[in-house]
Amino acid sequence: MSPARKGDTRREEARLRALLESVRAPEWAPPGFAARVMARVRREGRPAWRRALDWLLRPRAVRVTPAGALLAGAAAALVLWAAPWSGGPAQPGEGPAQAGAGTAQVVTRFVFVAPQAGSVHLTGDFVAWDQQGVPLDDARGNGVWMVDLPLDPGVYQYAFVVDGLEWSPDPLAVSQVDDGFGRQNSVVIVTQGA
Amino acid sequence: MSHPVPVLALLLASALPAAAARQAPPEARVDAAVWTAVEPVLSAARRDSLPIDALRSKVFEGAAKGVAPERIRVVVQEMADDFRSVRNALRGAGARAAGDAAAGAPVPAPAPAPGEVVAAAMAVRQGIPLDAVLRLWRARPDGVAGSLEVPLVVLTEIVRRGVDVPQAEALMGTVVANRVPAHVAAQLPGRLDGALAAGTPPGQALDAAVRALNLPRPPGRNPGRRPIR
Repeated sequence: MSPARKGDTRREEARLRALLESVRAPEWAPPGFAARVMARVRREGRPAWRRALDWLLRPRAVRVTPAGALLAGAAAALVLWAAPWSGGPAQPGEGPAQAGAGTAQVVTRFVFVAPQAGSVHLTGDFVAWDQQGVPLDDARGNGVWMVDLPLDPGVYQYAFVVDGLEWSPDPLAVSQVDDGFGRQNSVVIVTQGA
Repeated sequence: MSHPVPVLALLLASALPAAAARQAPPEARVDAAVWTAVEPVLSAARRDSLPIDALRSKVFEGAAKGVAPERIRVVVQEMADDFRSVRNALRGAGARAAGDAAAGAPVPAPAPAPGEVVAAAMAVRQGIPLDAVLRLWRARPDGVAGSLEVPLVVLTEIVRRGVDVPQAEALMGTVVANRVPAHVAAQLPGRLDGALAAGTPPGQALDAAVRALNLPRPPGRNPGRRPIR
């Protein structure tokens, strides 16, 4: 190392040593300084609700994996489905009250054969004629649509809605009656002990 | 997922409108024009203690089927008129029957349940004479408040399948008087269909159905062959 370079190194070392000494030196504060600072912090501290509000409103980057988003969506859908106020599919009893309310319900099977249908819904006075009433399931994919529905004992009128448009009575029903509007409704008698 | 809470909140918020739509009451599916048309009919029916749920159900049905408001009003009005007429007749028949039973003493008549009024009105509308309905109403054993809804519907269905009214009425009167369970009586139309499909005349088909279900025979009718057990 050249003498000039050696001199530069020594000077640099001395400067760093001085800097270190200044950092290591204890900070001085007037007596009672810490107590006054803490009192002021306590006095001016934000209430919990404000801190919570700030936390909620503070923008932050969110990283979500596709699987996580799907899980969160499924959880939200489950909560909404299961919540008592959400309704879910229309349930018997939402519509007009029927004779036998308060007694045990009877599971009643509805079957409709429609090989070309994309969807079949059951509706009737037990769901206040909601067109989206109760969806039937073509579990085997052979066009035999089916649903088991718990109903209070009584006499009900109903129909099927095919593909959301076409109203059809039930050819397997015990009876068809004039609906007064130019179509036919089917009749089902629900009894206990059958 | 770094912060699941905001993500869930966002998803919940986006799903709430759909949930709100699903929980909408059935009244929300009916146009205001329909309600305007039918409200006077429903108000009168409510004042007269008619089966209001059945009338409202017809409103929902008409709206769901896209029927014009005026047509819905006409149909609901006709139903209300039928209900009123049949209900009053049943009340009168019940009062007379109760009075007879108590040797002239004023006994409160059993009030027909809404389902019974609806079934009776439907029976009359489908051609069952009102007198036959009233006789069935009177056939109930004293002190039994069982619903006549199912027997009335079965009576209607038997007659609709070609059985003459006196034979059907006699059978259902016996069914009611003997307190045959509703789930047994409800099988009659299906049994009748089976015999009719085999070419049996309606009267004989009914006898076959009665035997098959082991129902009590109306007085004066040949009991026929007992079913094989």
